[in-house]
Amino acid sequence: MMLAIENLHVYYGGIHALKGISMEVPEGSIVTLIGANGAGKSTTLRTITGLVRPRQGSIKLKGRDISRLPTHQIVQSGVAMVPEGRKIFRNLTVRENLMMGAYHRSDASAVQRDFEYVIGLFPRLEERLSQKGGTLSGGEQQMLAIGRALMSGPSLLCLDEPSLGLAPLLVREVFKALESVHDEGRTILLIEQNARAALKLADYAYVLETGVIKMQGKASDLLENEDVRKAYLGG
Amino acid sequence: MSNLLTVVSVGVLFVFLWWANNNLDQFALRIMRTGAVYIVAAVAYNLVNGITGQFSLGPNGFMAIGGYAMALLMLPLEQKKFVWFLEPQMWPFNSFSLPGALFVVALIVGGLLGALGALIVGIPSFRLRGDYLAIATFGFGEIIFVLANNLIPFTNGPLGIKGIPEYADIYWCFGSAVVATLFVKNLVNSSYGRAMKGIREDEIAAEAMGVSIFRTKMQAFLVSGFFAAVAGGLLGALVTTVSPSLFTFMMTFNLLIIIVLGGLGSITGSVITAFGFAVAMELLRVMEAPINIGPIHLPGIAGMRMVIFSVLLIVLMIFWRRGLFGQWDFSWNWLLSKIGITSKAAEAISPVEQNGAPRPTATSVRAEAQEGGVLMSLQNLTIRFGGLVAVSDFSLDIKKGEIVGLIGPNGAGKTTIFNIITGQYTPDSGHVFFDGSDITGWRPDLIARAGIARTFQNIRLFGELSVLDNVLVSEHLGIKSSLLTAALGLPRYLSEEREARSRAMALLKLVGLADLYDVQAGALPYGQQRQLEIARALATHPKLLLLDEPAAGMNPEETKRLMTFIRELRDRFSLTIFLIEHHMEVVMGICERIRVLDYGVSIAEGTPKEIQTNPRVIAAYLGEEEG
Repeated sequence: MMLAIENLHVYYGGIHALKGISMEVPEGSIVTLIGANGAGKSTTLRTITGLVRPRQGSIKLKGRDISRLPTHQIVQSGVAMVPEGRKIFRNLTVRENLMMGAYHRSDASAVQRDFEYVIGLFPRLEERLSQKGGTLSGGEQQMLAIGRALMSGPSLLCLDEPSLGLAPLLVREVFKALESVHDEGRTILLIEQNARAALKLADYAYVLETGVIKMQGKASDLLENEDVRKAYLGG
Repeated sequence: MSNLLTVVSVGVLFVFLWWANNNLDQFALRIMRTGAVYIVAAVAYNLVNGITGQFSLGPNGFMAIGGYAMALLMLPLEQKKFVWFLEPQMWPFNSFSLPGALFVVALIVGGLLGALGALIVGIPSFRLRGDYLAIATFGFGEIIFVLANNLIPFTNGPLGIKGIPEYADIYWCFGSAVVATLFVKNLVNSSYGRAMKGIREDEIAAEAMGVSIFRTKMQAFLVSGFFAAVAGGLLGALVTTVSPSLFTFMMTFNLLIIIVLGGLGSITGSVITAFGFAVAMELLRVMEAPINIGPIHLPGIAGMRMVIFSVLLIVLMIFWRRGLFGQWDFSWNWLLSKIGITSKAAEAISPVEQNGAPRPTATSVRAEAQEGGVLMSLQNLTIRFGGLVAVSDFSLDIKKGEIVGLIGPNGAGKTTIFNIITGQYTPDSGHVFFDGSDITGWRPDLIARAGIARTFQNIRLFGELSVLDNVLVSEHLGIKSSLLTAALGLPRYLSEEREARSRAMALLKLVGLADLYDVQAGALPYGQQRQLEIARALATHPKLLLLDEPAAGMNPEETKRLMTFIRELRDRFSLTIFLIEHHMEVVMGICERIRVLDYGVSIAEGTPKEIQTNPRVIAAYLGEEEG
């Protein structure tokens, strides 16, 4: 098992944001987490990456509990995050942004290999390697954020709403890229409001509602499920 | 209730002061008076640095102005002759002196001169964007210092003006502290204060909601300059001497420590730390005297107190990064709800009548739309950034009551067009006509007042302010009472405030956020932040609403509700809506007309049906439908 979360409780001030959720992400799979705004999806990702601390519960990466580690060590142990709203380094060039993703790695040849892989995945970035991150369009910034995450050589890639603010054509492009990342054998945990696209891509899905997992199952089953259709797919 | 409690506590304070005056020794009284003067200066300083978020380094300059003004007006004539023994004193100050009963006049004259100084520094600094204020105010303080040292006929130079009667007794000091604190606190809680905090949180958003950046910063700075100068006058009449060394940059540094320790933006924090600082400065004096601890002998080190304060500041910054109180402020409602007398919620909601729609529509929007009056006309807009042509020769007419969509790939220039309409960018060529006037090149706040409101693609809420206050910042443009009326809490202002609150609550109800009115906006989940942005935009009473990706971050079900909501808004508020969106179901579902932009150039326009089948749009934007 790549990632195993057990009975996770998270509080924001007095608000009980995650009420004991448990979920698993098997190695080599794409798992998606869907749910309404404020259901706790982003909180889950932020807790996995150590940006928020759980009050209770465990997060095991390949069997090792990472829930008390500082964020940089979580990244070093193989979790990469593509944050909501991209959060690229606006005043660094595209190349510098990508290299920041490999900050903790010392194996130069492996970094170079991943660099070429990312450039191959997003050829648009190659044309703009010396351009500042802030001057990219929204779609290019999203590609850069995914590329930067891949540069850390992660075994688990977490994405928070990669389609946010992207034109339809680009949404498709980003999802294609995720598919190819998956074909490489990487494990992906995906949060997405575009639930239909997410379910089409994913193997397994969890439905989160106000901090509780309401439903789970094979993504293709949920895509057909009447309640899911009504609540999250727009009928 | 609150007012009564305030009056009672001020009364209790003065009874205590009367007791202290008769029973405490001169040393203790002097510390208390110094503390009170520091309160005046710190509260004034925090209004600019903490509330409005502008970094000023100039209170020592304004205090010097007030100090010298007071000294020149109050010093008895025979003492004046005695002080200016090197050079004669300048006319007219050598020919008159005010009696002690007019001490308050001297303080107010000093205060007004301080405000004048603030005006002179503020005009150039606030015209420029960015952090010029720190440099300008620092320079201003130094100029005052040099002038005070050299204008001997006026200031008596480095020797200073000695022998000022000790007018600043405990009542004057604390009286001024109470007045300054209540005035600033009232101001901060008023619509003017919310505009200031809005600027602190996000200048661009504040301006887009109709807040005049220049005027509002200036208001804060003038009030601050006034009270700083009053504090300077009090200080002079407390230590009985006014000299350049009293108003060095060290004074500003001390005040900076006070407001940072207390919490930038917390008036309560400034009051408590200012007083504590003055007391500690005296009590720690022993640290600078020689000390014997058993066999160890420490020689007296001058300046040891500042070392201690600096260490304290560092420790505090490590553990309480936002000062002791952050941006929290004391209020009676808070205290009453703590001890369970009234509930906070009840107090805050009570002024809100549930009067449904804030602005009922008198005319049928449909009818207006059919009349087909053009509300906004964009003509040949072109804008370049460096060598890149971001928008090229863009023209579009929008009729009253229409919902028009603007779509196109990321980076096509859609948001740039919004930024041109709202005045954030000035186009290189072309014009924006709105409601009969050419608004090209107008300031964003004037455009907002003219009736164009917007939401932002990357959400620009005032994150630290409450949900309700976010909406109330927009209501500021409708406030007619003056700053003075608001800060003094006069009935005329209070009724305006009540109306603004009830309109704001009605808007929050409309977007489903009424229950969360006192939550910090930054703590809301993404989708609710978008809803709040819409409520905030509506509070400027717009005729045209620009929505920049309203459905971003919403799931299909929420998106559906949003579509119904946007249509409702249009009908209820007689709005015209222009929106950018990537969710095709939204664009196709609610827009009557769609314009497609690619690389800054219009490539298509039409009804949803026409756009969906347009081959150029499919190639550039939609892509081939699959599965």
